[in-house]
Amino acid sequence: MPDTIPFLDDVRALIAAELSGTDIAELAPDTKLHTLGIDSLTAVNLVVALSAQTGVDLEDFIDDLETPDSIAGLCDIVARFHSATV
Amino acid sequence: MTQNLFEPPWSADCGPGPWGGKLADLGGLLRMGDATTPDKVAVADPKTELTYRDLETAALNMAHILRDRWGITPGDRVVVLTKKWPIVPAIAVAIWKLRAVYVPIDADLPAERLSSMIGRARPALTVGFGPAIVQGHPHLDISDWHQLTKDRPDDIVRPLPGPDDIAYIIHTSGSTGKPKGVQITHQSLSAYFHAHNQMLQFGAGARVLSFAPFHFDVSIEDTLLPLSVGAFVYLYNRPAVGMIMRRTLARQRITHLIAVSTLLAVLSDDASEIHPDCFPDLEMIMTGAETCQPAILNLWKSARPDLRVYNVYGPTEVTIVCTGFELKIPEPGRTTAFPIGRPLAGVDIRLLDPAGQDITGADQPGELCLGGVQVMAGYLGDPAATAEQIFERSGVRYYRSGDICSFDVDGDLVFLGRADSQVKLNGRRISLGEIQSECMSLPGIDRAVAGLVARGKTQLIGVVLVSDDPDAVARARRHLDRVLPAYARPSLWDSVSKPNLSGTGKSNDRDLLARLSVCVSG
Repeated sequence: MPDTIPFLDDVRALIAAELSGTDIAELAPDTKLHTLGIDSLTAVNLVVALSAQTGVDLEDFIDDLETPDSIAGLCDIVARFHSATV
Repeated sequence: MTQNLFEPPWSADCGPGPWGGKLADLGGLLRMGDATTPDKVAVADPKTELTYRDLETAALNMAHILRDRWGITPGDRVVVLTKKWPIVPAIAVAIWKLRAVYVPIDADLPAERLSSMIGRARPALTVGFGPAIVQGHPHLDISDWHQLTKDRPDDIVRPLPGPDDIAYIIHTSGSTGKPKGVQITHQSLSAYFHAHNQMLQFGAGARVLSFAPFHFDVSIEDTLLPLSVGAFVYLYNRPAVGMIMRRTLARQRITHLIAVSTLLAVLSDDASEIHPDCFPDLEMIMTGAETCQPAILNLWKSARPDLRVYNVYGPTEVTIVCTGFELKIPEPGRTTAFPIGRPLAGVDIRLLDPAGQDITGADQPGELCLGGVQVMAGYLGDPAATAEQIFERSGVRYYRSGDICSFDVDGDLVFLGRADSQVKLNGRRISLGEIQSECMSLPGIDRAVAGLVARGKTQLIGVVLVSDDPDAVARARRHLDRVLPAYARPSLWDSVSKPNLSGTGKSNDRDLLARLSVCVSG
């Protein structure tokens, strides 16, 4: 997996806010969320927060969303939110 | 009335029929819906709607394939690698039409765990939505399941099940070591259907929201039981977002909601949306599987006094649900969990003290033992583990639950905690002992202490390793990724080179885990 992918910084910032004290430089795209102490319900909350940040209605996406299990999965969801707003 | 020809005696629409040892015809589970309302949508998710005719046609086609092409005969175990998709109930019914054994397993488990689980189940066939994940067993890929719903074949002349035939096997983790396959007979499931539907009151008009994955026994309660009485089931297979869950509840005009406490908490995360005029179709809410905050049940019962609100309890080993408590009057000041109530009809309970004597008085803790027809036949291929959990007294078989309970002054059971190191997170049983022993199976790790650590409103699994190897955490993590399902893997890790050698093992464990709590909050 490449070292950087679109929206990585946004996702890193969100996770840093969620988990105080996390060194965000360590968060490579293929980092599994559970290794950060993010369980599936917390992951869903991150998706809700990202939808609010991007200004999209989560319900337009929900049928095709799977609960993300990695940083890259979260970045992918942000990319989908963004492509819907342009 | 011909309309009720196929109606099972536990349907709310025909009143609670007497149990009387009458076996459910599981192979004919969809017959009432198929005969009386073939065009009614039986089960749906956001992408698919299947009518009763579709489901029964698929079950018949599948039964023909299983019998004629794969040679499935009564007693064979058929593993179904499940997804939460509407076709799955038809696969279960097809297996039952042949009097074979339905063994749903989570397709998303790590390959190594899946492989050992399937290996021990020794199935005649594995069925999945895709190619075989585990090699070495005949495998049927039903990715093109849509075909099954077309063209109805001849009926299957069905061998009738005996009371002791195994209907299904669902896996649960033991207190230490590997998951165990819990074998439930036709008689146990039939008794459960009769007993629990007196509380649930599913009839043909019910519209049920199903959260439970199919490898969880609650799916039999929230999907297969309602389908047997011609009801409608909506499968929620989207991410657990409170707002979306509430919209689904309203749009699908759900009447019956069964949610483990964690999901009920998410669904209730905006108290302003739970008010007297909310969800007018909703009749009943049932929670269980883990301790529910009393405030959540109070919230619903206060907003909607007409709702039936239940807190239920039951280990997989005693067929899904064995006791229940109905919250009739909200108790706003309550801080302790509501009771788990009283046994269902046909379930015997005993509370035993450490000497094995019955406890009858209030507020004395003892181990809850559950007896009667709902008790499992045993763990598959593990008579020693079965013998540890099952005992007989006065001619009744009892299951030792490992749950410490007491009676309150009203005679309701109150859950106090586990006798061993099992915990429940998001409704799933997690064995801290298994986490510890897996970590300690690695060279260079002297000890491992696992526990629940609070972070904000949630709880996480934390582990502290005692090891001189700076790489210990990384190694242990890689190992657990291979052998444990994602929900059972620790998310907080720490290691120390030397344990603080003070006090007993227990307090030492607590000191070690306290390290993690400090890390989390600090």
